[in-house]
Amino acid sequence: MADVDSTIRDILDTHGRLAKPSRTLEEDDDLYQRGLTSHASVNVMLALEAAFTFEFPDSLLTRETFKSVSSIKRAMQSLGMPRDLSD
Amino acid sequence: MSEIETTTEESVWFGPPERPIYGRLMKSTDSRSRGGVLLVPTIGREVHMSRYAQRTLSKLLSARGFLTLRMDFNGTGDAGGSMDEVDLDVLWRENVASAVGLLRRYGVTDVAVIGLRIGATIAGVAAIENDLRLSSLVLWDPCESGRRFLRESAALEALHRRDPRVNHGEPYETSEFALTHDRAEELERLNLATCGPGSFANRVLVITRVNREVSKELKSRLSEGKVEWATTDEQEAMLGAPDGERSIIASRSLLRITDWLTDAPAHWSPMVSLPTRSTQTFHDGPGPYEVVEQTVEIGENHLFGLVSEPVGPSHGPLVVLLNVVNEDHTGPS
Repeated sequence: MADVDSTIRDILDTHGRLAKPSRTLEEDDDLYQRGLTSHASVNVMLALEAAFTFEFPDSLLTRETFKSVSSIKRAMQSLGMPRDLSD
Repeated sequence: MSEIETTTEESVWFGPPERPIYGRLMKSTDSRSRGGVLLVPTIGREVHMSRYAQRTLSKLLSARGFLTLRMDFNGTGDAGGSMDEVDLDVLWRENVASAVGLLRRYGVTDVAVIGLRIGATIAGVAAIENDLRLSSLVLWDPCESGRRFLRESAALEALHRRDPRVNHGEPYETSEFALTHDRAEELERLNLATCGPGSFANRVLVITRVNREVSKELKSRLSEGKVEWATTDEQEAMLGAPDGERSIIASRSLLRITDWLTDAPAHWSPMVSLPTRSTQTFHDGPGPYEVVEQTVEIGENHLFGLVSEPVGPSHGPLVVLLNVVNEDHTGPS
């Protein structure tokens, strides 16, 4: 469902403090190179958890997880969150 | 006359002698006070990053007639005890209660508490569970719970690393502090959203980050009583400055807090003169020896220092530990 991608990008825009709107980025663009800091990553993490009602396990608390829109989706998908991510 | 010249500052140890709490008391040179303000710190690296802001806030408030107290929790800074004390959450709540009690013994009518990050969590829960009867409470970038603070800290630590090594189910061990599994569980019990019923204080100011979520549960819990909300975009620049760079002192937040506390009706009261515990004997340092610590001021610029000596005869040489850049010298040691 497109809403998942849209929600992730909304969260990046609100909490990620990126240099430009997330919708101008490709799925695999490096968010750290676009201005995502460690602190902003934590904000994004907390907002994702609130939006999708889940918690990232310790094993996924890495720079790699929040590196791109696609890596965030993969991490959530690995947790079975939400089912329609593969759409 | 500048604000700084109208205030005096001194070190105090308070609480049980076997487990003393360390504080810095700041007061105006006026013989009266309009109230007491306790500044409850966060823990770990955030303490270092926010120390100058906390001291500046203390000065601002004392210049407006408040008696202010900054404190170190047991097991942190220059307080006694360790971070492996059983029931750490209860102990740190009691630390806050002791500090509030100390302020009241100086004769102030109203006591306010400003808690930063997990310090806000501890202060808020203490306000309810320890019945602190606060006139005002400032929750400055509060963590909803101890668990949330630990998760944020763990995530931040991992995200700073290029080669993360997060060990599942093991103690929280970061470059800032190590907490055993039991102590971490105890801190996780602290929860602003689920602590007992009642108002945290007569009036509450909550300052949150502009770009961070506040849960529905916390918003709901903080909807009771007289609560004012504000946002800040200064926290990351204060707490998250990259190593080697200076953190800011969050001046807009400091002024917001100072103005808000000053807005409350003033109940001026004469200051009670209390004997100060300016030296402290520690039994809990490494090894079997007792150590006496006392604060000193050095030179015409009043450099602050702590002298640690054995209780019995001392043998030289004198060892001087100088702090570097943004590192603090903390004890007892």
